[in-house]
Amino acid sequence: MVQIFIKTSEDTGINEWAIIELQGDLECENGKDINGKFMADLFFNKDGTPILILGHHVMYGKVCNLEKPMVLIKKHKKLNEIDDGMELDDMKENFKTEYLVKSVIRKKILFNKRPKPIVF
Amino acid sequence: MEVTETEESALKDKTNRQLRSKELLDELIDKAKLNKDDLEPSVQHIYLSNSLTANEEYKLLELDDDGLNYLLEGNSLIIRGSETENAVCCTKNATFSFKVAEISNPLLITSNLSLSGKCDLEASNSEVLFLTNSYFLMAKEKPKLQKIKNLLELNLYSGRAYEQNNAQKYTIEHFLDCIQASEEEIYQYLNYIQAFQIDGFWRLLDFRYLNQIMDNILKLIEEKCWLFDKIPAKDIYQELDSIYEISVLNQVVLYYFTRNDDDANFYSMRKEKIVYFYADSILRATIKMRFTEFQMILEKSLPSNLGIEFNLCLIQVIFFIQKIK
Repeated sequence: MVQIFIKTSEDTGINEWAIIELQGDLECENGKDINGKFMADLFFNKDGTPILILGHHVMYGKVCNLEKPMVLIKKHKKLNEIDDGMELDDMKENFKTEYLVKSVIRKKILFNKRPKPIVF
Repeated sequence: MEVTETEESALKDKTNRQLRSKELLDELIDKAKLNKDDLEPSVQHIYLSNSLTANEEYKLLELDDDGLNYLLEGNSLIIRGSETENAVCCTKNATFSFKVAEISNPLLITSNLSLSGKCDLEASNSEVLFLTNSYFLMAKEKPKLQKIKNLLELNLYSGRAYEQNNAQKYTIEHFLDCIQASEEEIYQYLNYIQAFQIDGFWRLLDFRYLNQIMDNILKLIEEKCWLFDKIPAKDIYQELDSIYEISVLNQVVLYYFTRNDDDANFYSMRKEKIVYFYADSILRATIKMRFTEFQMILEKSLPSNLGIEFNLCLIQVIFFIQKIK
């Protein structure tokens, strides 16, 4: 059996991130690398309504509080403490997996209304 | 018609990306049929992170407020489980199931996002660091503790003379490594099954050995005519330490007697526990027995100075018998 620890890190306190929830799947051009690419512009109406322009769609959404808070945790390999009498060979196997809490998430922007197409 | 970017705003922000130009945005707003007067002046540009698809390292975990506060106070949640078991997640004193929930909507975890549009900056960049359709959640669960008893029963303690050197012995650390429960629940269970700490390891006493010790203690109490609520524990140790180790005697006393509030030198019998003990030892010896016979044997076995409260205890013993049937 393993024991995996989940705990806070120095980042945890600083970061409070958000979730954008979309309806349906996020489609990308086939085969292209999406890393680093621009995704969407986010505007807000003066009444607080968020508006997302993503590709050829404009979507109206709603800011909601999450029913229960969420945390984003990140895997981290930690070197085990060295015991006296440990052989050098042992040290290769001596990593422990743990998860550090990167941020706390309490709100999301939900876009579940039908998107309107944009004609360019 | 294609939307083109002008070259004018080559400004970059801290994520080292160019800020999208005003002209481009105005065009977008226009094409999307948004009314610029209704909009807050600031806009956020959302990018996918450079390592989004490579990121198998992130997970999303839903907690309740207590769980979140527990983490924020500096405590750790500990996932415990082997490949063949369902994982559990433990705090210091509780156990939770650790399961995955899958949803149809994609969740984009985004950094540096303002949720009101009221931003000092006219434009800013945000990054989606993690994209997922699932998250982990926890629900309170009963810890799986029976394994502790099974392990301890493999090497019962009957005194130093009978010790086997190569038998596996367990400390709390061993248990934390193989039992799906929180630390406090493990300690509570060890107390419940009456485990003993011997030489830093947790052990269960062989029943006949414990029986011997109990007999000796109760005989001593009768001989010395000590009152059931004024028993000098030190004298027990003095009289019996040639036969049994003091740490074992001490733990027997702690299980079957309570320290008096008014004078810490004296202990009182925990009558129910002692009655249960004798009832248990009688029943272990037989498969079944008539209740009247059982009652008679039990009365004979018990020390005489328990007499008055016997009937009360008897009712509880009846429930005990039902339980072990």
